[in-house]
Amino acid sequence: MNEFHFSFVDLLLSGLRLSTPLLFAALGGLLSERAGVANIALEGFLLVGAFSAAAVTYLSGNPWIGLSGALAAGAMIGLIFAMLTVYAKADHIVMGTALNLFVVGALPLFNKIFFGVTGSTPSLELDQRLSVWFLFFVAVALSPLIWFFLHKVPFGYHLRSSGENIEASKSLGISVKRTRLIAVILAGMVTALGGAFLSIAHGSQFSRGMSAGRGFIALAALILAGWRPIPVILTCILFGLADAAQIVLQSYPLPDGSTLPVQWIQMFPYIVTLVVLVGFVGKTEPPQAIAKND
Amino acid sequence: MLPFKVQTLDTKLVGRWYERRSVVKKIISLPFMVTVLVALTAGGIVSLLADENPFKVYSILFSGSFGSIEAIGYTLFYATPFIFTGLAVAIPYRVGLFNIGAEGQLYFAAIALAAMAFYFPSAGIFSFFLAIAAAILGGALFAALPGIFKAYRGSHEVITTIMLNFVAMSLSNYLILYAWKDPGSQRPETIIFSESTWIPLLHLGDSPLNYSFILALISAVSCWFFLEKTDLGFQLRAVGQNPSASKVAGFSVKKCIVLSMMIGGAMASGVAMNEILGNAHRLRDGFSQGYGFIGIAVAFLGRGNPIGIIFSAIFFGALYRGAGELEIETHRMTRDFATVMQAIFIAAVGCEGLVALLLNKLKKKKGDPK
Repeated sequence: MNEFHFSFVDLLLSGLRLSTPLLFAALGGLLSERAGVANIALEGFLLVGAFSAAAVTYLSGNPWIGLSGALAAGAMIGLIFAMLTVYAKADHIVMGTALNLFVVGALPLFNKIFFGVTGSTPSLELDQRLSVWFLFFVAVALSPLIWFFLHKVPFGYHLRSSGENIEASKSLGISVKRTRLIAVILAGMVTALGGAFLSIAHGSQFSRGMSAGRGFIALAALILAGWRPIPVILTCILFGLADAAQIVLQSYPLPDGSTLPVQWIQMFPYIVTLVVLVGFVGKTEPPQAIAKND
Repeated sequence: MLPFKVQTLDTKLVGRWYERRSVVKKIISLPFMVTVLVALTAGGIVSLLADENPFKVYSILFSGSFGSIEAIGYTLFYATPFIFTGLAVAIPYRVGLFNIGAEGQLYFAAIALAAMAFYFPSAGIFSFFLAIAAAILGGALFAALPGIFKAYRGSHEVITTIMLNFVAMSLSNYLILYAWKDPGSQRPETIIFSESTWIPLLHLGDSPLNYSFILALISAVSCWFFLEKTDLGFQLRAVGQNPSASKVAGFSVKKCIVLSMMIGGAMASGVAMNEILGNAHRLRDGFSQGYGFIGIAVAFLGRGNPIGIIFSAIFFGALYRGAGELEIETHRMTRDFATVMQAIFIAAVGCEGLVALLLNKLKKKKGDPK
């Protein structure tokens, strides 16, 4: 029988680490969706953040410059998404799909132009990487900050009212378009931090498809939390723990010495979500004016 | 008897024809042309960034996808899954549902199909029909789940379909690697299925184009007929446009939600037929390269119209095939360029309203009435 070290603390820590990119992406999605812009482009935002963080860190040798690069690139992609959805008045879901496709295709092209290969950026030294825990605490600290921003700052009121009722907001003199533009740019920046976590903190390079559906999982966590910034910490940690449990269980020995097939374990977090969502949560109330155009 | 009532053709055929003509006019309008031009220019800029001549890139794309009989065969072969997944997204969308689950549905259909082909290989023509029926039923039932969740529990279909995608993919991965693995192959794939289950080729050059393409065309036309010409199709559209009014009119919203998802899932199963029975003759890991997600783009580019979807699927198929040639014939353009072009085209067509608005403003400035 093979050795199997199981420590509950390790599992917990690993779950918290893995929840970080989810939390960043979910908070980005929250900013955008509370302002009324439906955002399935989180996956693309994450990848842009991951690529720009890794590329800038490698070229400059400094992860802090890399992190700023991710923020700048996140703001850029947020700006593009906002231009398409808010100003060109295109369907939000369709533009989200287009943006995800664009990012998936364009990043390997850029990678080839900068580094000669399509697969991944050159890997970083250990001292060129950021602390995983630092970013985790940034993400957790960001949640109450966003709550405060949404509920205590005038611009936060504008943001929420743009997401609930376009006509009423306009009659109060709020520029729905400008509010949404700023919200989506902020969403791009916050989500890009999650991407940076993947490529310069948790990993040591950007590689194709490294977000692995996390943008969509974050969206699920956001909906599960009812679009609220504090509960979203819990739902993201839940998914992070499920992810960690999956990795631990893969080497868990059965009585006959074999291990559980990986695939069964991989299904586990998704089935749990389905049961929670369908069995307990039921109908969720999205912001009223979500995906509607001014 | 048909399970639905067919609307009788009325005498206003001429009027209808005129309406139809104006739809064609709407599609080939000035804003559309400008949009296409903008998209092509944007693609050209991307190729310039990669240090390649955009005219060369476009001519390779075109000759690669339509330059010979064989190239056309490949283009249509790649278009086949896009027609199916485009329909899988478009039908539920008419009821106001966003089916991101076509990928999971086609995987589950493939599992059902492979199970039949694996366990009942020697029943001749019967095993062929068994496999096809299993695929359709598998896809439809797997899509019914999020429909039921939505109708009876109010669970958001975007989330439930995403979750089910992961479940179906893991399940198929497990079956391929453990239960049905071909012991003689190094790759993650099942054994080759009995020849009686194969779908015959159409023999366009050496291309793998098979009768699944014809099935895709028939499916698209049937979907159009169902939506536009039958009572049930009308109910589906009505529910999509105004659920509360439809309820008052006595239509069952719940039934329409579940039904539209099931039709979508049945359409997604066509991908499994094309790839497994028509081409590889075995279930391979990763046999779908995100076809379910590209279906969203195909459906949108086809304006949700089943006939439009045929053309937008052929366009995507041509890009896909042309990109393969691009990879061979240029130094820096890879397959990813096709993905970028797809994205640019979707974004451009999505912004067509803006282009029309700008053109109108331009006209007004010139002092042209209207």
